[in-house]
Amino acid sequence: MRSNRGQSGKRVRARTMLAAALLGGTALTMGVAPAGASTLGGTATIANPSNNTALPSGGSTTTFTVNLPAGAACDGDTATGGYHVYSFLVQAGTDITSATFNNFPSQGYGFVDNTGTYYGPANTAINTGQIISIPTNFQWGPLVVSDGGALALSDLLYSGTSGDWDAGLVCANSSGHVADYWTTPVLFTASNSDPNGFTWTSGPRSSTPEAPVALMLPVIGAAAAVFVLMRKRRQRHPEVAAVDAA
Amino acid sequence: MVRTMRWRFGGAALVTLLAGGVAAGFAGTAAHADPVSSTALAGVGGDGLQDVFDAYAGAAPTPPSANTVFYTPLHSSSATNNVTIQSFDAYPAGGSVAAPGCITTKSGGPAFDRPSSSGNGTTALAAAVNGTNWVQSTASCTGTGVNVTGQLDWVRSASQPKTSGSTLTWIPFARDATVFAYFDHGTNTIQHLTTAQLTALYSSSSGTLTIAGDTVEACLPLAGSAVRKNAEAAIGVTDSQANTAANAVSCNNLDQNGGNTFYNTVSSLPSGTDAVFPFTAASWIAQANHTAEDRSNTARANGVDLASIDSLGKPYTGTSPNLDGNDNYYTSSTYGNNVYVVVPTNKISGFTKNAALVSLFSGSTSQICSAAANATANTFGFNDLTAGEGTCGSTTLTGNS
Repeated sequence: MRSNRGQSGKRVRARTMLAAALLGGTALTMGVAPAGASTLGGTATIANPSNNTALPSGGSTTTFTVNLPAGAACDGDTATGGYHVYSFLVQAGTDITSATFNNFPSQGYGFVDNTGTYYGPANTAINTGQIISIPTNFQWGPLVVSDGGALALSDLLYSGTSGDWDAGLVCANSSGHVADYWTTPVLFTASNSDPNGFTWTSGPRSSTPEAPVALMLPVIGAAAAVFVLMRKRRQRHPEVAAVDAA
Repeated sequence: MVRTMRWRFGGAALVTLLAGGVAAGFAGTAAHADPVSSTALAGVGGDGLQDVFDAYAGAAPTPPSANTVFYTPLHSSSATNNVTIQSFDAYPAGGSVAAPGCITTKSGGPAFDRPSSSGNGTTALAAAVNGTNWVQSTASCTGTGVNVTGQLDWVRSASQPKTSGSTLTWIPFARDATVFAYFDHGTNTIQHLTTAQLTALYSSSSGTLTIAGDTVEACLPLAGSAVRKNAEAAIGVTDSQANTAANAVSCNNLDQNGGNTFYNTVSSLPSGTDAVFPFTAASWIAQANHTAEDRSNTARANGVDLASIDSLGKPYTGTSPNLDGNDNYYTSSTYGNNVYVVVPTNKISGFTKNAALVSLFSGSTSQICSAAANATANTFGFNDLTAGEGTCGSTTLTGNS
């Protein structure tokens, strides 16, 4: 029996360590999707086009670009697979995969450049499907009526003083369905000093610092393994004591 | 307390480390100074307008040609980033509608059938808007439909919508006219024709009509082309009738405005048997003046010329290379026709509008309605629109195809 219990304990430990390893391994692969694998909910980052560093806030006429993780690619290319890149801007909580993209998004809006021209559909790189040549002259101002756009400021601000939106890029397949997407929250806030009446911030919605899930999962997995091992050890002690007494 | 502080410090360090790692993982994807063609708006369509749009794109006839003239490219306003156009001809230089081949209009895009007429161009643009596949019904180089979403921005067209709707917008910018070229072995027997004669000829099942003792055969350009549709409309015959007539004499689906193709097809006819072929006034003039690629030089040298119709007179004055159009044809409600740029309606209005496309083509103050653009169009045989014919840049004419 003791011997059996020992083997059982080893199996538990082995399973626990395997689970932790799998969790960690899976997490490590979530950062950058390999070619051909779908990326749903990847991170897009609004960035300063002059130096490509994250741009957490700005006014309606602030020019920006969008960065994606290195090697970000669609499931297929435009030339032979019929995939296209589109931008989107939807109210927070909207499932962007429920939208379709045939020349333009079926719901919401998207990134526009300084002239008010919507970004999409754009071609990917040939073969790799990589997302390339993202414009460096996006602005939020041209979206709204006061700057020549079609969106009422009140709609942007949820008929109040702020509006919480999700913005990013999608890869749509030849049927217009979302195959991949990268997103970032954007909070628009009313501003009397801005020429179009609003400013924006972009970044995680949580107020506390957050570590990327991809890198936190191994830590969580390891902690779970330690917890299980300690719990098993505590459960084993009363049985050992009983055997010694006999 | 000490333990708590350690955890906090450790957590902060971890967050900093992870943030740095994530930041390092981002790649710069900013666009850099690529050729002007990388942002140019791509167009296709009819051959009658291809040369003036080559000029709008910067050079016509397109090199290699001994007659190439370079023009200041048509471009959107500076406020819309000075975007230019690139225009793909109805068929490749030296080629034919029999083998228009494939084109790739934008970097990274698919190769697809070159739309070889106004009608085909409009069909392809509608496919691009609707997300359906495009394949040319004849002489396809892909052999199967191709998704052309995002690959076409505009179409040059000499014909109006054929189906109602609002998917596409036809924007008029100049005036052209339908004329008829003839070949009669240099006798000039049929240098004057009447509309009634042309109607009878093209509605005959035999494809022939006796005029002044000669047998005249009916020839047609490519099915779906604007020059064909406009000619049929001018003389009041259906495409089915005209198609029957042209097939009866094996003179159908010739290159639009291809004088040499017409001549090569009919030059072996016996003496006393002649032929006529619809043409556009602007193309005839531009080819003869060498501002356009001359695809009719052999024909002209062998007596192919334009017939005068009814009381309108000869369609041009002067001699090559200094021909000038006869306004009677352009202003005629029967033989005159507007020429258009066709654009997706959702690209000139609303959230999805393309500001550069608007600046180029939409509205009376658009670039294509500028004095400079009009002057260029005049060089290629087109007339300015008069008030009764239409307003340059108007966006009121729409259709689905």
